[in-house]
Amino acid sequence: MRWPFRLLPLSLPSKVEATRLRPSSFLPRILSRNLQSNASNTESEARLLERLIEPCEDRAAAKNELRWLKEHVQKTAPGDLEAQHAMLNSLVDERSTGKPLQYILGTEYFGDLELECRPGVLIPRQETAASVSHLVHLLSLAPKLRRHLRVLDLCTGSGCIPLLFQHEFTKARPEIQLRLLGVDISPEAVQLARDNRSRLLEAAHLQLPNCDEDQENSDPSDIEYNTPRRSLEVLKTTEFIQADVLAEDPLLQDPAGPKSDIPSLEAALRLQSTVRLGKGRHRTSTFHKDRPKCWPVLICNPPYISPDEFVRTTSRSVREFEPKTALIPPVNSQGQHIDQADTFYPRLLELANTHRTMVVLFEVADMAQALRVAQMAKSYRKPWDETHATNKTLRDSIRSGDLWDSIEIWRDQPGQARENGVPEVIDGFQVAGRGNGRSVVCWKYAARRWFGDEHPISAQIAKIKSQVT
Amino acid sequence: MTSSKLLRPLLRPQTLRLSKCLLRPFSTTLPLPSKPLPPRLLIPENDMIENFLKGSGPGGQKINKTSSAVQLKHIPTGIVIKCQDTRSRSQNRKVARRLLAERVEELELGEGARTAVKAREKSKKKASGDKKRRRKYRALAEGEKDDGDDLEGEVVGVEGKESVVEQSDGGKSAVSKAHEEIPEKD
Ligand SMILES: C[S@@+](CC[C@H](N)C(=O)[O-])C[C@H]1O[C@@H](n2cnc3c(N)ncnc32)[C@H](O)[C@@H]1O
Repeated sequence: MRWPFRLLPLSLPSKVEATRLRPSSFLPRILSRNLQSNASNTESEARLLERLIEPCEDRAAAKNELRWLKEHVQKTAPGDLEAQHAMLNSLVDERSTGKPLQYILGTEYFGDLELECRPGVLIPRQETAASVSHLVHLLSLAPKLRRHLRVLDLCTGSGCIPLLFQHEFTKARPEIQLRLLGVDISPEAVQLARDNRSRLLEAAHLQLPNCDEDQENSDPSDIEYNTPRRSLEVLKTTEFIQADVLAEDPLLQDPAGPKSDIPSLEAALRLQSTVRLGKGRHRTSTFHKDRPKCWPVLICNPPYISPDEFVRTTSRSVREFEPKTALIPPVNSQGQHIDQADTFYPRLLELANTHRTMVVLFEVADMAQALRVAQMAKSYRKPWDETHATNKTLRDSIRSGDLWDSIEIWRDQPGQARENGVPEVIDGFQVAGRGNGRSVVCWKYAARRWFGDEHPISAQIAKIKSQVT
Repeated sequence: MTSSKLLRPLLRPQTLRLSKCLLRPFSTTLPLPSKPLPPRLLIPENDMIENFLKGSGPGGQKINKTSSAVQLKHIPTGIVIKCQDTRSRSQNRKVARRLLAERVEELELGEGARTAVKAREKSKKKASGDKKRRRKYRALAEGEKDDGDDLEGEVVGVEGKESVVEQSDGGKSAVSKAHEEIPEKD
């Protein structure tokens, strides 16, 4: 019954934050009064804790989870101690089978956002949020971004990436018009992503009256005042559609070839832009005209675990409770020399090329895969196109080969400086941050313009950052 | 009344040695913040090392732990803060920064953390109606031993010294070696 509140971003103005969004500051006390009122309760709690240790893998994590489960039952059945006990018991039962806490509680935090989770769709990971936040941070520092920015998220799952991008970018650069699109092959994922978007829309709506009441803040240039408004606008145009990222564009395909019910990305994008124009919602804005083929920002966290690694390296709750299609890519049909874990990346690089992408962010499993993907990006050659043959400059740039101006590898915490302060380079690729190898980020030469000069992107970013601090 | 008492030493020149650790986010003409509690101070990000205490696993898609714990180490003072109150890492990061700023400020208050901590505890008792102030600080001498792995609220320590550890809901204090809590990752 309280769901609209639970989904409010955590960075809301203090009133809401204090009462709704910091449950831990007051709930544990209430709970410990209610649930630990006598010795037998304390004893049963110890048993509950024991049962949580195996799925949580350590005692500290189990203690945290038990506390959060208690907070959850307290919220669900306020005042009714009997019901709370029964519910807590059955939730712990469920958790002790290995079912992820996020599926049990129904949400997970992703940056500042609390997003809904459902079995059948991958639970968003903190590392993904960290990479996306860092990309948003860098982009928001770019002084010469265009007025419009189009962001395509492939394999979007719960929709977490576009939704967080929106949340953080709008706060930093409300003057830039964002357009976000998420794509997934799974109908459950597309539905969940749409639901998460609706919930954030409601939350943004709820914020509006607060702003209106506050007359002093009604200066139209005030960011605090405008952000919810901008968020609403952007979320309204944010869409999630179903498509198969790996399927080839039917226009390029043998018409007699096999057909699938799920459209290819290209077909879905064409269809989607026609539908939009048909509704006439954005006819006046050139930004929203039919531009299915231009996506300056391309993000993807594709399935990247090989069947072998799936068995050997994933945790039990991942293996037994999260959808395999979200984790294990199909065998690569193009080249046998490509590791099955890497199936998506050549295709993603191709899509980046055909969609005039300026920057890509691809998540990977570890440093080894990061290096393989960075190498793929480095050796990527545009497929030969007849129209290029007549244009000397283009031809030369194709010959010289490099599609990407700068290829970087980011670790789990990409914004953190290394302890020794020395920049890291592995196999010729710049490596940023601390933790495991987590993503590959490639910038086009043209993206230098966003940052306002001719130096490589990383140098520009360093310069801008030093000016900021 | 708490704040004016605690903050006055901030103005003494000889206690300003740490003040470059703290920045006021809003430039204000008043030397003292007008709100009673807590003083809003910011620690520059470059002065902190942040750890997400996830262990050494592969991360990413391969595990789905609820790992929201945040540990902050303040480089100039060696103070360590840990926060795992909420399921939201980003909320824990904010809380950890606030707690760290409070601790650094206490150090800045002149006579050392412990005195300031005691002073705070005393004034806390008087202001018991204030819901915002939910944390008490205790001198370490009275603390009972604890292995430190079951902390729910925060860990506050000074590197290389035994230090006070406080739980958010139990009020139980414990002693831990702060430097043992930072898994140096690479
Ligand atoms: C690792 S999950 C990432 C989900 C989400 N972006 C996140 O970061 O939490 C991969 C997603 O890709 C989707 N997927 C798998 N194969 C696909 C394909 N051929 N085309 C489009 N999406 C696909 C899965 O349904 C799953 O939601």
